[in-house]
Amino acid sequence: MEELIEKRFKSVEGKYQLERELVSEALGKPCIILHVQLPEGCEEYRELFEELPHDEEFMAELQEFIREALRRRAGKLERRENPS
Amino acid sequence: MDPTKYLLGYLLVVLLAVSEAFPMSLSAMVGAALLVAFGVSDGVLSFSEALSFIDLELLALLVGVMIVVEVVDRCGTFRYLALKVVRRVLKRPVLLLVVAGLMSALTSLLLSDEAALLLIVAILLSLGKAGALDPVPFAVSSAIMVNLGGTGTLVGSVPNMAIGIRAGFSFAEFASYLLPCEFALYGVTLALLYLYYRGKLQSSGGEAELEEIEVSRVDVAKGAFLLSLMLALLIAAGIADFPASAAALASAVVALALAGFDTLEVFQRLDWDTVFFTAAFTVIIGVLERVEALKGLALWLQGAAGGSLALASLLVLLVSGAASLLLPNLIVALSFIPVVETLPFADKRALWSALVLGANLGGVGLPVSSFVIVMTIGALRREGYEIDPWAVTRVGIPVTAAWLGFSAIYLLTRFGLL
Repeated sequence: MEELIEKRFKSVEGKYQLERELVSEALGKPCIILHVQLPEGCEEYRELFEELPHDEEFMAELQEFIREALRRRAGKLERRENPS
Repeated sequence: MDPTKYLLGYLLVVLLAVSEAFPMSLSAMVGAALLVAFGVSDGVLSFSEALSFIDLELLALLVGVMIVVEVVDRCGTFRYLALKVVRRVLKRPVLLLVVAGLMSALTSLLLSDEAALLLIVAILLSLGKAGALDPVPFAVSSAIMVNLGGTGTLVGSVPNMAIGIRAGFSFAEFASYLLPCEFALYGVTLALLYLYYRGKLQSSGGEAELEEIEVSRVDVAKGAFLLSLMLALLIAAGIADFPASAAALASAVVALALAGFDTLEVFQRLDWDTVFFTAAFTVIIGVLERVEALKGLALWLQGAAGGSLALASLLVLLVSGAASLLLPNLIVALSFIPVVETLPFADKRALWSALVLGANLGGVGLPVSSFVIVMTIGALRREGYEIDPWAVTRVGIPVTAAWLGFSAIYLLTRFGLL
């Protein structure tokens, strides 16, 4: 049963992600859905890794990381457009 | 002619399709090749005869509807309407259950089950992530309503198209026989879902209510126009006596020309697996009809009914309903069509309607047989919600039993069989 759920969902996952992004965008809250694999060498932390999306502290850290990344990228882009 | 090897070939296809070892289309094409090879070597048919078993009218209707639905889906019309309606009732959980359920069923009446479910589940899970509600009971209920939606119209599901074309029903005629039953079943189902989930319905509205819906109004209007055009042409086809497939193809051409989307991208997103499966499986059924392999089931039904149309209709409903608990509903519909055709009743409207109801409504009893239920469980898990697939069975089985029971009463009264 578990395999069947995984297999069938995988067959529509691309469409689901697209729909999810369109709905978030329509609600005025664009979102991106990323696939992050368990990093090499962290195999023993698999359970902890799978809990990360439900960890509020981790999600807050991730939001902060994205905020910083966006600021850095925006700064770089501005410097490229206005080198002086 | 001993049909044993032909029946074994058919069973092989069914097993391969259920096991999902390969795409359904490939399983059906392997089976079609095998059965045609048997038929040609036994001298019961030629290759060109086998090709003529492909139901081109069905395929034209299927592809035409798929193109229009894909274009309308891209226009975001249903997304916009669903968001507008759901946001209005976000803080009232019982009303949200009813509205999300009705939106699911009505959307799948016009879009494919998959497209309707992805849309509704994506909305519910977006709201769930925004802290507005616990999406599990709403998403499972919506999946059940999606399965119910689409029973009442010729273009609501692929089994409906196959049965409707073979029965010679126009769009309006099909709706007149089955849409009242579908609408009544909405009430029955929502009442059962409320009874089952009444302690678990929670929605606060959260911060989602603060957001504005940002979509292109032009695209939304375009989608609504294209859908209306297709429905108008399908109704006109029945009045002016031209095939529904012509109406669907004409709508598809207008949709592609007007919407301005990349045509090749639209084509790429069509469900070709279902198209090729339908083509190949109609060949399999054609060969089985030629060697009279399905005659046994028809004779059994005929004997059990004892000349009573009421009993025959109930048997078709229950046997096809039980079969679609375990098998994909398209396999059930295509396999039962020649059986219903063989039954010796002059007026087969009740039998065809029974087959539509049985093939469509058996789907949510077990998670294994319901693509929409499994898809919902997968989406919920992907977003971090825990859900036991067998817990869904506890609501799916009573709902299926209620659907089939109510449908039996409907058939007997609607067609005056009491």
